[in-house]
Amino acid sequence: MDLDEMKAVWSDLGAQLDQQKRLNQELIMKMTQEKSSSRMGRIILMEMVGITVSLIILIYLLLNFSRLTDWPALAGGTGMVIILGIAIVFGIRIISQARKIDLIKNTYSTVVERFNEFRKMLRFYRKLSIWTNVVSLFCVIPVTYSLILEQSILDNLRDAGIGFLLGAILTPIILYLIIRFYSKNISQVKKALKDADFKD
Amino acid sequence: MSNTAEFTQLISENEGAIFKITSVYTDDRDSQKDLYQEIVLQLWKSFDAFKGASKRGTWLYRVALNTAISYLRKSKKHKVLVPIDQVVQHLTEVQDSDFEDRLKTLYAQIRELDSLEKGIILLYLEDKSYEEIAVITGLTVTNVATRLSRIKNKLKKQINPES
Repeated sequence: MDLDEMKAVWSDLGAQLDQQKRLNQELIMKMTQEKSSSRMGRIILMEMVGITVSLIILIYLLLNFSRLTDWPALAGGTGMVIILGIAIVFGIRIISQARKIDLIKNTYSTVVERFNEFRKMLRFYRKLSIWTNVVSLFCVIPVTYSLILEQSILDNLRDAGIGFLLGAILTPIILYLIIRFYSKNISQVKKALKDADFKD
Repeated sequence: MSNTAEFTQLISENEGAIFKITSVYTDDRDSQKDLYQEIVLQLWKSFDAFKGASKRGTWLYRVALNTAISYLRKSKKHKVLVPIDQVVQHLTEVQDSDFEDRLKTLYAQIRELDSLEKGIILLYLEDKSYEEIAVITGLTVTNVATRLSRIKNKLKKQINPES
């Protein structure tokens, strides 16, 4: 068979293949899902880290609660237990909602609906975390004095003032970084979902 | 048009070409399916970065051929030679027996070439110009011409071993 004849057979093969159309969209949908879930995975990972850290601190705090003797440490400790409890519950809710967003198992409209619920939940969580961060600033310092430095904040008001000042500077920065992380990943998931809007 | 829709359209338009590449570099249906998925995956991964950096066809063939060649290298260790009848059987639902015979001859000849030669002949059969083949394979135009001439001789020898 010479090259011209090979070319003719090749071209016939191409024509036959065009008629057969073997590829299905499922393969591409799977890849889109991988793309969106890898972005969602970052949020889930962040939440998992948050839950683990919160749980460790909560257990430590509960095990050492009897060591909180003065009233600021007791009030701070109680506040921290509540805040950490809320953070853990919300973290679990975020993870479970994020895992429901699946382009393969659900229709596009269901995915969008769940994604919107997820965003609403995150928006509420964001507002709540602004308040909890401010409150936790007042809780962490007396508790730290009591459990780590084994002193009462009431005996070190000047140093505690510096601690509050540092906290007041650092808290907005930390909050900004957290909010930016969520906004960035949410907009990426939104983009991935928008990319998949060709199929329902 | 969304990214995914654009990509789906690109794959649909070039489905036949990708299928033919996979058929040249594999011997059985499972390997072909694997390679097909691997090529689509590699195209998807580089799709965002591509965005008109070169001609679409050039980019697609380059990614597909590179993926196929590296796939062939990886699978060479476990290579089992499948009879050419089976190779053609898995290609397409061929109805015409004469066409099937010609296809068997074509694949038997391509099978004797090395991985780069397979790529060059494939592009040649796809009606690509020497310049396009050079861009896709990374060879110079002169090198493409020389290699194609060698391939022609090789194919001639396959038909007439005494020539």
